[in-house]
Amino acid sequence: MRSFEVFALVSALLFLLSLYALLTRRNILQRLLALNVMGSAVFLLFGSIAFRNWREFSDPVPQAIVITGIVVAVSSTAFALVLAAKIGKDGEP
Amino acid sequence: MTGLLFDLALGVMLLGTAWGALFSSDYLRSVVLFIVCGLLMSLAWARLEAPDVALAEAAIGAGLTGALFLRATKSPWIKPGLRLSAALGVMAVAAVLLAILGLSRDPNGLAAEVGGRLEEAGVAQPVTAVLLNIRAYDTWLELAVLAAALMGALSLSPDPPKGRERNLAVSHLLRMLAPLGVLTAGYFLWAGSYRAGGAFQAGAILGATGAVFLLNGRSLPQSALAFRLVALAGLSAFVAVALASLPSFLRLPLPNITIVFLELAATVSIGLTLLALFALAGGRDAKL
Repeated sequence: MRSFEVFALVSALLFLLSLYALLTRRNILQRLLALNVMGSAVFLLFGSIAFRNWREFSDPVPQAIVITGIVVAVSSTAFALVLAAKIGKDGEP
Repeated sequence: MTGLLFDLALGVMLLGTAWGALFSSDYLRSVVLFIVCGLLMSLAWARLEAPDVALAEAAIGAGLTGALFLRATKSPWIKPGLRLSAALGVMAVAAVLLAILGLSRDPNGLAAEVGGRLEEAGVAQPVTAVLLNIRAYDTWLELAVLAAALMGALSLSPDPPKGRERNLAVSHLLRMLAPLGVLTAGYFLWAGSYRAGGAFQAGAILGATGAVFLLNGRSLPQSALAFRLVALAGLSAFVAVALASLPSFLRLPLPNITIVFLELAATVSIGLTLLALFALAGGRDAKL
């Protein structure tokens, strides 16, 4: 077993755990948290798959896309949190 | 061998902290474990030889996202999902994910391709070259996503959050720390052209510096024209560069000075947008 296989396996397990949490948690904020863990798991899977091709330097294209993805994830999370605060203020959905 | 042992230990800790974050009944505990999980995740990225992603994950994925969750105190509840069907669905997905273990070594990664074009990309660092030159479209649209999130958040909470009381000692300390924050952001921005760093990491540091001011009672002038102009600077810079190169429309290669211009604009608007999202996600009467 090599390093990238460890991380690929871990990211698959993380994805499954957070998918279950996303479906079963009752608190919206904890669902958002689960969504974020799920995103990180997908990024890690992408990164470990890319690492298979490591030569002089690791493949920069997946890295750039993951960095883009992290920023998109944080902006959508912030918007979702604003929406959640709005729901909490206006009462039960 | 020690490397593999380290990775295994790291994997176990990742799963443990994620389990705690996902299934804890205490919200605060969840968020703290989520931040720890994010920091461990950035270690994993460092192990995968991706220092740029490690920096972005630590600063944005763990730090800023964690701070956003810490600020969100209102927790609306929704109907619980069906546990059994959820478990069955997860098992179905698990079968698909097991396929990743069967992946063979793929000789056709893009590293060689990027390496060959690094000469004309104008930046020595491969990740920055991909972000701002070879795949500039992605970054452009990412800035559009940031701007869209900001517009959505602004339209939902039009009143600026009330400033809280300032702590004099903290204010004094911040006055000394703020220049250091800006300096660090500038260094990361500059370092991005030859080593790990770049516009995103620098923007996150700028945003975090501003967030500390926000926590000490300052408020953002959200209606000011300057605020909106700076928040849209990155997007506008990309539009300007695209228009200036019109017949070819953002085709390779962009000259180095253009990349520096784009990075600078992207940094300030990423910093300000993240800061504004942080301010708005806290709500009007958020407790800290």
